Amino acid sequence: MRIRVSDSRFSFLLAFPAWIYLNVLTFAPLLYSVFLSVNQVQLTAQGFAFTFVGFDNFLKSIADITFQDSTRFTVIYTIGAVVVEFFLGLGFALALNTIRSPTKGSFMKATALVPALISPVVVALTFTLMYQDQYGLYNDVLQVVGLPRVAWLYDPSLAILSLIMTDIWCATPLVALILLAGLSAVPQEPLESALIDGATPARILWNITLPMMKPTILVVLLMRTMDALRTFELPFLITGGGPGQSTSSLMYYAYRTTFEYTNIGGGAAMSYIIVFIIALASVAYMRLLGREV
Amino acid sequence: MKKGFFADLLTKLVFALIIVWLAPLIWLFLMSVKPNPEILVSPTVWITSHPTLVHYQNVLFGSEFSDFLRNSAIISLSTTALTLALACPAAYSFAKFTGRKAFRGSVGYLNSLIIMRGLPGFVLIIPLFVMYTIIHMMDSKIGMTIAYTAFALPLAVWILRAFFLGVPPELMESAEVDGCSRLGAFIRIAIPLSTSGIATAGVLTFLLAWNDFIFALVLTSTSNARTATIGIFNFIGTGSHYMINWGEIGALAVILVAPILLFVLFAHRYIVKGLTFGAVKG
Repeated sequence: MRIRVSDSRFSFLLAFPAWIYLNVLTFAPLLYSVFLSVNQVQLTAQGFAFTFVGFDNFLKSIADITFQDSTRFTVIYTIGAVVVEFFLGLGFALALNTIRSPTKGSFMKATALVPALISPVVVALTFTLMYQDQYGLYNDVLQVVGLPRVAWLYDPSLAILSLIMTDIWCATPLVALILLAGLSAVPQEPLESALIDGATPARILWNITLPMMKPTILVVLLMRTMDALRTFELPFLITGGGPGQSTSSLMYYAYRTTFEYTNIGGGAAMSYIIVFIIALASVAYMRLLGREV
Repeated sequence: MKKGFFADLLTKLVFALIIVWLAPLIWLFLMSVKPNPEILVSPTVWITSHPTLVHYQNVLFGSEFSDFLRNSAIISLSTTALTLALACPAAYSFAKFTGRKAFRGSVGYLNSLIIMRGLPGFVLIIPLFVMYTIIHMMDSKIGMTIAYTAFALPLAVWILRAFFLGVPPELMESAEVDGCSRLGAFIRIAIPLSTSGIATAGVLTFLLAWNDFIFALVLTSTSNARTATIGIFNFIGTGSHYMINWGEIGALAVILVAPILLFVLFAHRYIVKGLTFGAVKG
């Protein structure tokens, strides 16, 4: 005799292993991290020792000058990278959209994915070498076109620019591909009738195409903003947060607080402040661009 | 006529731009086949007159890098297997059992996965570091696999759900009419019809573990579990730029990039859909 469970019971059984796994390895650690963030954690010979300190870790982080500098850098980095990536990506997407040859199109789509999919460590390694002032490729290029060689990573504003440029290199092709996917889903009839009515291509883009792509644009901006706000590998590996603290990102500072200054409670508090900032940015986008996703 | 000419020109321009865009990677590859004295010189030597594979040989067989690479492969593959095994049934449940068929809390569970994906991995790393230290799981391949799976699972479930949604419900119904159990319909019909989705989720899960830096940085310490990305970092971190064996780092980096080239060649059509949680068709 076969026992037949109800559909809802069956669907729960299917999702159950993942549910247990996430409870034990995501929810529990996240709760544990809340506990860490309200404690002073010390590593002693007997293991970890916890002293309850309330919201001290949060208040100290917010008052910490380096944390404030890291916040400023992260915001500048995010705005700079996301704005350029979006407009550059949109330009590429419009250009790619005119390509009718399927083989050329799919070759370009495939290659465009590569920068976004390779490890940030490989990206950081390559760009560190190219930014070097003595033997780096970029200074060679500057010299060839008759400009002076510059110290890419040793001048604070240039270091910020270098990191933003690296991020742009990684993400723009992917942004273009996602926007292209949204672009090709836009129905052609309204565009054609607007063209017949004498609208310029720029007006059609601004008034018809872009509003129709709103859901895709929201996805792209959300993805990129979240990723840029939690940037870690590029500052860590390319500039080491320097010169001074000029390129210390929030995640990088949280990492140093936790593992270099062994202030685990402080690091946990900072990681939650970063989550709060990411959540704030996400809500702002949802409000700004509607809730169509 | 004129329009065709401009379209052609635009195609060529985009093509040229992609080549310029990929110049850093081409340069990285050329670096990995140069003898060391030609690597850090100005002006840059693009094409060496003495190409060599000695760096690859050293990385694959000689140095501690071979351990790191093996760890990377083992951890990434086991993460992919574990993640898919957990995510496939869960995603199927979310895709095909909705409304009255769904279990209570199904929608909330699905939405919480999106929030989890938005969290920086770092929020998870600090508690995992403390927990792993307490239960002596630091620096182990199993510990790394478990941690990566926790991080990869939400995205995998969302990708697979998007693909399972595309399986026509009539097929499942007729299978059940023909006497196939619900589990049988899932295994014999839904899974074979969603291979592209499973491949996409698998590739992105694999890459998450393969490319990761920060989990490995915090949770590993010796060649027991250290991965290749940490190998590159260790190399840069030790000593002056002039003393480093850049050729070997370049070779290691190229090996790290190789599977990605393979993946985009075969799966690029689905990856955009995957990366956007199925919100955008690629």
